[in-house]
Amino acid sequence: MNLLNLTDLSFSYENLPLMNNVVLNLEAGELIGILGSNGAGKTTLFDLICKIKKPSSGQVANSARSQAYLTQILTPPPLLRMSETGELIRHLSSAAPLSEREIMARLAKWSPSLYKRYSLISQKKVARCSYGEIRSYFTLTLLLLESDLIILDEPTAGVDAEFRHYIWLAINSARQEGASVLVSSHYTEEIAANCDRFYMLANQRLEAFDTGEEFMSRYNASSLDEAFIKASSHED
Amino acid sequence: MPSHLTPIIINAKKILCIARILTLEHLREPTALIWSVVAPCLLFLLTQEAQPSRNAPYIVSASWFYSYISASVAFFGFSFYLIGRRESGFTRSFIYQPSAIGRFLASHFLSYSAISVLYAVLFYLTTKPFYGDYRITECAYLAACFYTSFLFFSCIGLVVAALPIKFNTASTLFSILSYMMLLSGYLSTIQVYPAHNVLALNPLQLSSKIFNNEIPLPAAFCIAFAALLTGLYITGRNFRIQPVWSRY
Repeated sequence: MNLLNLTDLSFSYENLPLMNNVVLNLEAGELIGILGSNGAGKTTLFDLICKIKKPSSGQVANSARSQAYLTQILTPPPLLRMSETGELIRHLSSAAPLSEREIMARLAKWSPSLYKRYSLISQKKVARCSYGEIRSYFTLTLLLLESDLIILDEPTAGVDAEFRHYIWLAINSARQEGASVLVSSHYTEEIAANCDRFYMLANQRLEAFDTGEEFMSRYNASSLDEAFIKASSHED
Repeated sequence: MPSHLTPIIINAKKILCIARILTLEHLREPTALIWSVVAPCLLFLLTQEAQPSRNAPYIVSASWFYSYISASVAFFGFSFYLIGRRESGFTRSFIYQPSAIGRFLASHFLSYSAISVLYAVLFYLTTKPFYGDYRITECAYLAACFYTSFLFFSCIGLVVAALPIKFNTASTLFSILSYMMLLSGYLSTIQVYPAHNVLALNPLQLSSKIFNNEIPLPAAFCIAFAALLTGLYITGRNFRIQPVWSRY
C-alpha cells in the first residue's frame, strides 16, 4: 500500500517551470532516494509533499499520520543548549507525547556509539556546535520522533564520514521500525547503496531507477557520478 | 480520564514545555533585560532625582515608564522574536505544519505574558521605594494595567510581524515607532505643538491613561485580550514561513 503518491505534479516559479507531470510513489516501510543537481527542484518537491507550496497542477496524496521533514536551512536558537532545542523540536514536530528518556532508549537500541555521540552533542550550547554537529543532531532527532513518513533534504551534506555512517544507520533503523523515508542527496553512491530504489530529478522530470546499474546503463556511463552528470545535462 | 480529552492534555503539556524553553531563551538574553528593565529603571530614578519635589502620586509619575516598557516588550520581544525566528530559518525548518504553528504561537504568547508581568513587577520593586512602601494591591493593579498595555502593543507588533520585511528592517521600524511615540509624548507634555488631537492618539499616551484610570481597566483588558486573540488567530492562518531572503 502506498503511503505517498504524486500524480502528474507540475510546479513553476513565475515563468520558470521546475517540474512537469512528475510521478512518484512511496510504499509503507520503503526507503527512496532523490538525486538531483543544485537547483533541480529537490527542496521544492519536498515542500510540495509537505504542503508548504501548492502545485500548479497534479495531486499529492499523502496518507501519513505523522511526518517529519528535515530542511536544508537549520538555524537553531543560539542561546539554547542542543538538548533544549531537541525538546523544542520534539514538542513542535510530533503529536506523540515522547519523553527524552524514551527517545534516548530508542537511540541506544539502534547503536550505543550513536547514543554516546548524540548525548555529547546534546550537552553543548548551540553556539558552540559545528554545522555538521547541528545537522546530524537534528537529523537524528527527527528520525527518533516515530513519524511514519520521514523526509530528509540532504541530511549528510557537510557531515563527516563517521556521522554520515551513523545517519544512514539511523535511517535504516527507523525504517526497520516501520517508517517510510524519502531522502535527497548529491552523493550518488550513498543513495544507490542505501536506498531500495531512487529517482533522478533533472530537466523538469523525475525518472525512476531500481538500481545503480540501471542508472549507469540508462546513461551509458561507467560510474554513478558520470551517470549523474549525463542525466543532469541530458535533454530530450 | 475521557479519551477525547487526551489530545487536549498532551497539547497543553507540549505548549507549556515550549513556553518554558522560550522563556529560558529570553531570560538568557542580557541585552533585552538591560533595555527593557535596567535602562527604564535608571532613567526613572534619574528623572526623579532631577525634580525638586515629588508631589505627584507614584502611578502618575511612573505610568509613562510602564507604558514604554510594555511597548518595548511587545515590539522588541514578542513581535521581533516572530520575525527573527522566521528570518533565521527556524520557522521554515520546524514550524510549517498547522499543529506546530498553533502550538508555537500559543507557547510564545504564554511565554511573553509571563515575561511582561515579570518586567512590570521588577520595575515596581525597583522604583516604588522612592514613593513609599510596597503594596500588593497596587503592584497587582499595575501588573494588570501593564499586561493590558502589553496586549495592546502586541497587536501592533503582530501587524508589523505580518509584513514581508527582513530582521534589520523590522528593527529599524520598531525603533522609529518607539522614537515617534516618545517624541509625541514629550511634545504633548510641553504642549507647544499645534496638532494636539493627533498627539492624543499616541499609543503610549493611550496606554498611560489605563494606568491613570482615565480608561477603565476591565473594559481595556477585554478589548485588548480579544484583539490579541483575533490577531493570533489571523497570524496563525496566514503564518509567514519562508524567510524574506529565501529564494523559495
